[in-house]
Amino acid sequence: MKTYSRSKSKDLQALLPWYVNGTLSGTESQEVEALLENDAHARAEANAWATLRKAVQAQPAAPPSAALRARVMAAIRASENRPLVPHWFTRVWATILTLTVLLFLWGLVQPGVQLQWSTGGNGAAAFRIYRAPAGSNDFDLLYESLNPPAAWEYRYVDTELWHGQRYAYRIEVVNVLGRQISSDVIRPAPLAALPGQLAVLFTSLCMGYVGLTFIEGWSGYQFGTVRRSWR
Amino acid sequence: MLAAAYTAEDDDVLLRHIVEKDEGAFEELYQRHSRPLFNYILRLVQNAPVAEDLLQDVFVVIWKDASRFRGQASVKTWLFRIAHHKAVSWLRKHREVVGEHESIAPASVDANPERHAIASWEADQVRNALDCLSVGQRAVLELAYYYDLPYSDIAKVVGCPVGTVKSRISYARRYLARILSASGLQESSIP
Repeated sequence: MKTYSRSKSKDLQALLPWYVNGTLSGTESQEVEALLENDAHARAEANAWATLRKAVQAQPAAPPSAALRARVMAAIRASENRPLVPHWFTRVWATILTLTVLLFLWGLVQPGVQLQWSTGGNGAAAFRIYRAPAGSNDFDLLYESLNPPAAWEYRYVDTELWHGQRYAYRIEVVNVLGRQISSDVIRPAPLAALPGQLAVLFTSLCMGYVGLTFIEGWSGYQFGTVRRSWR
Repeated sequence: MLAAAYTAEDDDVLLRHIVEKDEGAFEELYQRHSRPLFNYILRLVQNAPVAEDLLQDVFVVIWKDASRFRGQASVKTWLFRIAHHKAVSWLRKHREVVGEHESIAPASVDANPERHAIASWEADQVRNALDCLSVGQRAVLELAYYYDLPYSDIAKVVGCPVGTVKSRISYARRYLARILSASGLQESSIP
């Protein structure tokens, strides 16, 4: 007759649930059986576990719906389909779209330093715009317009700006009598062009992203989505 | 290949074919395991439409990740591990996970057994009591006694140490006995 210490007996009793479901190893089963031979309390516990197992096994079991099989097969087939359009193509397309929008908006909005001047309605034979780096008197001709159309106000946008470089401007007007009149040196505020440039850049990137999302969504839409019965 | 060609194959073989994207092997695996997995998930989430959606997720994972099965446990254990993880994740997002000893009244305690056959009433009480267990206790009890898994496999399925598995099943039994005794049922008289 084999007897066990209290702690060993406790360890073996913890194995009773698995003795009852028949999954203990050979050695464990033999040890539990030795315990059951000599311990009435352990036998009562084993019976209680067996009763519980019967109750759990008596639960009703239902199969999943027949439609689920078809949904599962559709889902795995959808997961295997390659996009209609390769990823590299969508990215190239989005980049081209972004650059196109950027160039278009740059030409339309002309983010840069805006110069506006008026001749008081007297017209002019020519305008010349000179530009020098800030702090320098070395003005170079930036733009010349000969026989401009008659207007009350004239405008020029300098978009050829280098990052971090500030400029000073001078506008020279040649009137119909050939007289040259120069403006004072114009010093625009620092970063005057930056907000406009950032707005154009941001808008171009957004348009590119929208285009990318659209074409990727379109190529994925061809293969459907998994239906959810709850959300 | 058709599913019928795989009826005699072991689950391990089926998984190897599924790695190669064989739909016939996948359908055979679905045929074998969808019902037990569905009922396991259903007993944890207690909502049939949710259980079906989660089962769908489980089989999509099997299809995509069959190559990750390393053979350290049985295929059955691996499948139940995925199902358990899906059910517990859903429960975490959609309702509070019941604590180990949270006292919840049984779904229905009918003190008037004349209205039902006594055996049917007792079976109802047992089912209601099982529904009151925490997710952790219910999972261990189902895996041990409905699906007859060894404790080491149960530990792999639920992702906890063997000692925790043993203590959870003990707590589950004690908690069930408490709920059932409140309904007038003794442990020994469970049908």
